[in-house]
Amino acid sequence: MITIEGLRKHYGEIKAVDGIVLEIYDGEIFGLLGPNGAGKTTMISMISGVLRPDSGRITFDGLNIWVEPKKVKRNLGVVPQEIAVYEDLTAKDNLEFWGSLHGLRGPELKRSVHEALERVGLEDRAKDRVKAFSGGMKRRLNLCMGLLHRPKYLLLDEPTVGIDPQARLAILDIVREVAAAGTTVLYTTHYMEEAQELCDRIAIIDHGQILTIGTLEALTRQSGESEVLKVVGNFDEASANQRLSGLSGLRLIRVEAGTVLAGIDAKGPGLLEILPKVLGSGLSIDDLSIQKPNLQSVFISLTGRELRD
Amino acid sequence: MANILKIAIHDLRITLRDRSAVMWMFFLPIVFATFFGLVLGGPSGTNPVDGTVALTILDLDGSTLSSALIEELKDDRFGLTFQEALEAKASDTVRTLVIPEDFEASVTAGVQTTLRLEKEPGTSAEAALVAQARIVRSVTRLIAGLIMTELSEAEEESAIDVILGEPASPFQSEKSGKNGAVPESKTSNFLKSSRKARVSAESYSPYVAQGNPKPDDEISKKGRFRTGTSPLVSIDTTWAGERPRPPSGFSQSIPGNATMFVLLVTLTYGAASITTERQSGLLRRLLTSPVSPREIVGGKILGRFVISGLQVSVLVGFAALAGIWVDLDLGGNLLLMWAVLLVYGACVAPLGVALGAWFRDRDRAANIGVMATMAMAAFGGCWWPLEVVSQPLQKFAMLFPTTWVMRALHGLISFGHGWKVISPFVGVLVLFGIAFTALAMRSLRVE
Amino acid sequence: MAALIIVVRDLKRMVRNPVRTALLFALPLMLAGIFALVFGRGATEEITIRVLVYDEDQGLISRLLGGAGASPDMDRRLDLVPVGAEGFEIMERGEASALIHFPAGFTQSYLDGEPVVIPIVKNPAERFLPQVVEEGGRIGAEVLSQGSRVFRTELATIGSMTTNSTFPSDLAVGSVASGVNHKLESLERWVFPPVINLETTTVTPEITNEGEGGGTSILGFFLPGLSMMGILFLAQSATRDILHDRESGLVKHLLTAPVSPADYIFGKCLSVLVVSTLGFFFLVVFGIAVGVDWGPAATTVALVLAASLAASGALILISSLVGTERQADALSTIVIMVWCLIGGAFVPISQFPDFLRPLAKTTPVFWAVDGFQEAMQQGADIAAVSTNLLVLGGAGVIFLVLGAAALRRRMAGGLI
Repeated sequence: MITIEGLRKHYGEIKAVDGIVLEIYDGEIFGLLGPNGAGKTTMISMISGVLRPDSGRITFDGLNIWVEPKKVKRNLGVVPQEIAVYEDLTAKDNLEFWGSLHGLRGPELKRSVHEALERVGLEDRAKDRVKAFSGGMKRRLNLCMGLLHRPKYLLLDEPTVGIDPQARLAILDIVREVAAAGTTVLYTTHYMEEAQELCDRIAIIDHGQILTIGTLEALTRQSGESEVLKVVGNFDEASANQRLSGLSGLRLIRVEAGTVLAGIDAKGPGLLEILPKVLGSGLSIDDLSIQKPNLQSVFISLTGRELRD
Repeated sequence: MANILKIAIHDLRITLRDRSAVMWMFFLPIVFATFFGLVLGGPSGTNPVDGTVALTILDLDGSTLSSALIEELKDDRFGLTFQEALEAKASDTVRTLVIPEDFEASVTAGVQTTLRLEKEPGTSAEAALVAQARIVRSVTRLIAGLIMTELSEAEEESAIDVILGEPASPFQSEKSGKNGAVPESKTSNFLKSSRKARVSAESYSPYVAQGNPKPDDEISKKGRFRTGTSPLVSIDTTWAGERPRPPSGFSQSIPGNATMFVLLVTLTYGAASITTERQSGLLRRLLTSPVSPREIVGGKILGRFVISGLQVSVLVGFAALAGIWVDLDLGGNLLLMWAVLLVYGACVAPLGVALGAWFRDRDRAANIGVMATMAMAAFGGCWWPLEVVSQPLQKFAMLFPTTWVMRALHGLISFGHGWKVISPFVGVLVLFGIAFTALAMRSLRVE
Repeated sequence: MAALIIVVRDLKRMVRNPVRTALLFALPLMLAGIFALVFGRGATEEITIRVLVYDEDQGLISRLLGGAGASPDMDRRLDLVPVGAEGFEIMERGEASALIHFPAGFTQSYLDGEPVVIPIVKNPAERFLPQVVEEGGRIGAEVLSQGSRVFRTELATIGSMTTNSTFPSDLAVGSVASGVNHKLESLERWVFPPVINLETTTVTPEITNEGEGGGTSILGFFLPGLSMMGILFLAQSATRDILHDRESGLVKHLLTAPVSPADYIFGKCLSVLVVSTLGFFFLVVFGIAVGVDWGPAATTVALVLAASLAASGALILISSLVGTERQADALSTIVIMVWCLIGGAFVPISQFPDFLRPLAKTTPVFWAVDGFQEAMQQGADIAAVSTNLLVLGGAGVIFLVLGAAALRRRMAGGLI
């Protein structure tokens, strides 16, 4: 189990990570979802022993990574957001170097390299220089380098950034396989769909703080709303507030000139009753959309912002 | 330690995959050392085989006295060429001795006249100095001849004439040859006779003609200082150290270029590799493996050392192999030279790592590396011997490891010294190495 | 039009990256600065020659000679250190340029008219200063030898006086004094001052002109070669973009705009040429700012244009022959360094061994440096450097045409 207590990292006034407490259970895929700049990479850096926290404690099965780094890191695989591979070397060279740093040698190293390449579908490109690889292939190799030594814990920092959907699906499949084999996975992403599809539990992070933690089902239920309504039109903030705030069963999440986000209360009158009231409120409405409850709506209801903001 | 070694060998592997690095490590140092070895083999206009110095004569006087001076110059191992007119300078002229129009008239009248030695810009100062000194010697002999003429005209009759049965001086030769004739002047008397007298003097004494007298009999001893071509006082030069022969151009170019290119590769590729790995996130990724930050920095430093070690080994090996066919003249102790360069490689390795830590951009780090190398090579005596620079700059040079490795290498190559004599210089290199390592450890924070 | 847009884009990139651009010029400027610092007029005056004098003879002549270097005008440059036999060990440690040894019996042998040898031990780690000492010694030996010719009778008498156990008679001393006096009178018009004087000059306007700052002449001498090296590296950096654009996919992107391959290649060639020429003019202006006289302005401008054309053409040709940025870097660096070496950018051609001199003329560096030096030293007009201009311009055009054709072919073949 990975236990994080009171983790904090400030850069002057900026609170990159601000008092995070978290437990990640053995064998689960734990998702850390948040927009860019939420503090996910800072958190992964501290958990993986790269960036020293200002305060807090990170333990892997009771071993503090900042006290006994080598012991912990032997069982730790990290896949960074950047493609951190040696482009001048072949895929096999890269893996052999990485494997040897993790203590693999001789036939065991060879076997691990072979298996890892096979797992990510790069066995026929093993002897090619990495700089000749496509973006998706480099991403797969990047992932492969974290899996090579069959770690007990795998930390992935936005491993699918900038690749095509097919390559993304391949990477997600690999992560599922690894988790199924018993590896504990911490997966950070700002893609809501990835977190929904992949993760057993999800923490939503913003401004260095965890806003909520739970399974997908629990999170959507926890928001207390059945749908999220988005109204776009030609109106100002004051008139929108004035005309919509009194409607029962509607909770205004964010009101701006031209845009209103509002939650439909699951226990309220229901969408069919509320919609005519909104349309008849006198606001000049151009577009109206309804979202089923998902991580996006959860995020919106928690922060008032969409995830892509 | 195992991790440090793994990282170091890995760095070597990456460097050897880079063709341009290989070129800078092995090919260019050999090209540069060969080129400068050849250039330094003999100073400008000096033929290294027979030591003649190129000199163009522009004789604006065209007098008997100027011809006599030219004859004296021929004795001083000049490769003489002649320029007919002021504007007719040949393109390959190295330096020109201008004999002024009034040369003979002024000298005859006892009025000072000035010969002008015009050096072409950029030609060897060393050869110019040799030329200058040889001209002064020729002039000294010419003046001595004039004085002897004056004295002999007045009253001196040498008893040695009788012993030799030969003229005591060129002037006396003229006198006896033209018995009873009244010379126009003392000077012209000398002038007319000088060439003839020289021939007779040379035919009289073979030692004189060879310029290498053997004092084996009284007559030749006494005759020598009378002919004007053989020195009574001579200089015998030897070189300090245990070398049987003087150092060649390669004894400067090989240590100089080895020192410069080891530094160049260490600073540019060392710095560039650190910045690249940091930019690509590889350094951070290394930290996620069971390797401590100290091991990473140590591995990086060791990596630069392994690379410079390989470079040094290949360069020294090449010099040893080339020495089988070509006379490279490296003092015979290649093993010690190799060891000194290895210590130097270890000394500058952390500097490459520190430089990489100070810059975020690969090209910028490499550019600064090139400039730092050039400055240290120039001030440290890799491009020219340090003795030709001013005292303040010589003191300034002590701040650079290049100065100390060059001292050690000169001790080995130029002097033929052993380990004991050069060990203080190597000690200074070790101190530099310790300081640079501390700097690298402090500068490269992997976190 | 598209070509001009590409030129403007490349220039903008240089302006937006001032540090990167400055670093491109920094190397030739720094090297020129070092040369000026080390070999500038003021700097060389401070060189001191340390000479050990081991006077085993302790006779009249050896003491006179040992102190000769202590005259006021020599004092600043010559550091004469009296030593004993330990001087040889000091020489072994390389702590002096030379050791002059007056052996026991030196003075007596000289007075007796017997051949004497002065051994000089030289420092093998130094090339220049031991030579100075040796040549100085040889002049001294010549003067002594000739002195012996002139004063033979008197010297022989003095020699016999010093070996006799009895004091010389007044008559003998008087005879010697009278002989010496008489000869000195005759000598006076030849020797005091010497009737033939030697003056050494360097054929460089800056050196003969007074009033310039120290180091100007040497800077002026090296600046053309170093500038040429700088411009070759600048052209290398500019041509690197062609391959970089290709590797980053920018060429493909550009070709989706209404830009033909010919437009692109013309634009890049023009861009390299403009960048190189501007760079060269910058270095010329720098030279003028620090007091370098480049000679007639028209000649300088013509040479800058021709040399920039040659440098751009050469580098474009190289980049058209290779596949990747790295290959181009490796190949062009070799070409630049070898050209600079054998073209006389670092070492004057006059110092080359004979077999290397014809090779120099195969490089554009030689023709550029030679042309600039003609202009600087002789004030050559355009006609006087027409051969240089023709060679540089001709080579530049040929390189450029070949390079552009090769790039075009590679583009057509999908390699760019």
